[in-house]
Amino acid sequence: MYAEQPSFAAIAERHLDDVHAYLVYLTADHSLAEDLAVETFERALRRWKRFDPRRGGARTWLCQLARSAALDHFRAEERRRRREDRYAVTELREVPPPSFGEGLSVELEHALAELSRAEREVVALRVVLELDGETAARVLGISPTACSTRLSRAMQKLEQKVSADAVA
Amino acid sequence: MRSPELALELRAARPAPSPELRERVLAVATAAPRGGPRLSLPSLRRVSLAAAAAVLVVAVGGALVHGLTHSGDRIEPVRANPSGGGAILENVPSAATILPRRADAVPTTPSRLQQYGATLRVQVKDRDELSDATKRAMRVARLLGGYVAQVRYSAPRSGVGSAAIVVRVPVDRVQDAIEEYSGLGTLLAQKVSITDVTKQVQEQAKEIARLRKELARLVSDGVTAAERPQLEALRARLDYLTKRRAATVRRAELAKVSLGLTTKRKAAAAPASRFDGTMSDARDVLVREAEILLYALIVAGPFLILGICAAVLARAHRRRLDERLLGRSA
Repeated sequence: MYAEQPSFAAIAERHLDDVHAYLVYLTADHSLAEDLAVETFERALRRWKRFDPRRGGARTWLCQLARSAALDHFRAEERRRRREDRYAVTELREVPPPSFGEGLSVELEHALAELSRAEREVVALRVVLELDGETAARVLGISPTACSTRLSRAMQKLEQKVSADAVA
Repeated sequence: MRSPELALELRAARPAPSPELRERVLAVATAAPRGGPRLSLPSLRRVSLAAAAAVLVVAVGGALVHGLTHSGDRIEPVRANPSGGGAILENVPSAATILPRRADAVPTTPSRLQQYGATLRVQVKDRDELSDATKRAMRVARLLGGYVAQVRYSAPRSGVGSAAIVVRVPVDRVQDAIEEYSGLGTLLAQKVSITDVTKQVQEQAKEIARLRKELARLVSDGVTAAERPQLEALRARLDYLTKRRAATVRRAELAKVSLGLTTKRKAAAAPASRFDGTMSDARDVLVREAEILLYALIVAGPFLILGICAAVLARAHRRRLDERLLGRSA
């Protein structure tokens, strides 16, 4: 039964776009998203034997791993920032402007950049990747209702910000 | 701009991975073995459930095995205990059904003079049966040509009733008496003793013959005044030996059978079967295991609760930190 499952390489090739898009929205940084995507597939490779398709699809599993990798990165960044604050290290780092995709309007880019990571990730999962509410909620570790509420608020914010930018 | 239009634009401008990223990921992926996951390791929940089921099976199975190996029908073996000058056989069965009655009674030897004694303990159902069995035992003694030497009967309203009967029956009918008494109820115990007195009687006969010969010689020669005390002593001795020999022979002709009758105790109405014994032992083991488990829980419980609380708190703290990190825009 397991022999009919596709190989890990096939899975990786099929879902790379989704994982990358999700990470771009979550981090708002293309370069970081690429590094985290590689990290995600390395983790997936290490845990490939433990993957059980009956407990969820490969895309859900990979998105969960991607989220875990991103959170680990955010925590490490947070620790580094605290350490630097403690020792009064002031390093001016060049932060690239957030970019979420080729062809997005400037207003929408700005609006997305102003959303929180949690709001952007629900937009990525539900709108960009077109996951259903239950699957997206499983990736986020919240209830489907909470996921739906979060998406609604995020889209409302986006509408408001885009409209405000357009008027300005 | 409305949400559907935003969604359309977001989907249309979906970020695509660069060719470099695709190469890097494929390089990682091609290091994977061919084929899908052949064996998925069981989850912690499944392992815990399996372990709990295994512990339960071992606990119950162990209790049953212990019950099977340690519960018997509790029948003490039949043993022979020779003591004194006679042979004694004692049987202590738990049920009459396993005791072949006729085989237990030691047969008499008609050519020898033997003092035969038998003691039987028989259990009857209730006071009515006790009364009937006592009457029947007395009647059997008389029918066999013997007599009842002693009877003691006690049948209180509550408690155990009992009767003790001592009968004397001709030794050649003692087998019939034992068989009859064994059939009065459930045979609990049987004891038979045989003392051979043939040699003793023969020696007494020789001594009597010698004394008679000496008396005849004194009387025929004429008894002087000096010999009169000796003559009286010989006669007294002859008289004593004659009576003693007669008593020995009489005792050898009549066997003494002691019969003890008791009613059943309510609590011990029926001997426990092997199945009941097994279940009882298994229950004891399970109770013991439950006690040990309870003790372990009492000892380890506080630490277990502290550990669970610590894990829950750590998880909640981590979740709050994650929410704070995800609450930022960049």
